[in-house]
Amino acid sequence: MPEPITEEETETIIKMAKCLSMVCIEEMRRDGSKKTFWGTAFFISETRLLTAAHNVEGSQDKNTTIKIRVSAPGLSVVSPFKLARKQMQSIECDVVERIYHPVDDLGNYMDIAILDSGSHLVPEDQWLALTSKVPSPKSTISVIGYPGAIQLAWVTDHGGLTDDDFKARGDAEALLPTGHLTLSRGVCRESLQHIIRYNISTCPGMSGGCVLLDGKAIGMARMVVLMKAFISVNPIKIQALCQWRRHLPEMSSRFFGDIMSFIDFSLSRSFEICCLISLENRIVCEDTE
Amino acid sequence: MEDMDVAVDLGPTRYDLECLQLEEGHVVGSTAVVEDEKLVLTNGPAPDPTKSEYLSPRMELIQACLNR
Repeated sequence: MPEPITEEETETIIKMAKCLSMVCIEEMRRDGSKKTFWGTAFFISETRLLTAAHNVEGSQDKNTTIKIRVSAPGLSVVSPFKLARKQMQSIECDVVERIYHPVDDLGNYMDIAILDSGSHLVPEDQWLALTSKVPSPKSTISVIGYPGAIQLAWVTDHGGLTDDDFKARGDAEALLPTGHLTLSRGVCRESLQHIIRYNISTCPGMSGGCVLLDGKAIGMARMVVLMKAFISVNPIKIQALCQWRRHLPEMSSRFFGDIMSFIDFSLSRSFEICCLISLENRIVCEDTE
Repeated sequence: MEDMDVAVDLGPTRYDLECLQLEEGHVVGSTAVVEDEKLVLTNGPAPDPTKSEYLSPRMELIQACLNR
């Protein structure tokens, strides 16, 4: 069973919640068809957000144009449909980087995307704080994000339900109310290198939310991992990265920002440590070549 | 539920990523919503504290695959 939330943890979670946004992705195909998806994203600098790469999968399709907008961070309730229809304040974003590739033979993926909010800047108290702790098995962790609408087909797809599908959907909706910034708690089952597995109820829409341990998002600054991730993702940037490293002492930790973060990509209830590469620094680096 | 005039899709390839926690076939979870600078527990069914394991069958299936 997850441990109860302490007052201190609650206070921290409330602060962290100010960093989260609902993300709406519109995919428009050349044939005129359109699809809309929703997920969760969170700010990690004044203009950069993290979300799950599969949320912005359409950005890789040449026949598809995508538009991404996020809600202002920290709203308790966001109507996904108002966000989609631009009937509320929103922030247009672009995909800066998308890292999506398998990390093992078990179907687990590196699944992270970095978004940029352009000229829209958010204050520092709306950037996410990270902890370098990795959860041990049986430790209590939480996922926070904006649940989307829970569809009956998705509920039915859960094998082993003994309840009527409609009752099960009602229970799921009570636990994960659509559009409400929701914390879902559970227990870490195991930690496997870059992946943890846990027992937590989540639903579509929470993809891209963060995993919290002791009231902080799990993440760490580790250069060696950053290097590996960078090389595996984009070998042609190695030279630039090496040059960039020379500038590290001159940069604040915030801006060299090699952060590993868990993101809720929830493959089979697994979370993967995702490597965030500070694009600001890549730009700095490339400019110095 | 609001009406909607936009197409809804849960995602072309990641449809089954998120899972509900099941306990003896019932949906359970421990969740709270953020409201007015507070965390408010939801009224959804909570896991039974007397049960140490409450994996969904799907989770067990996945686990079995991983252990294969």
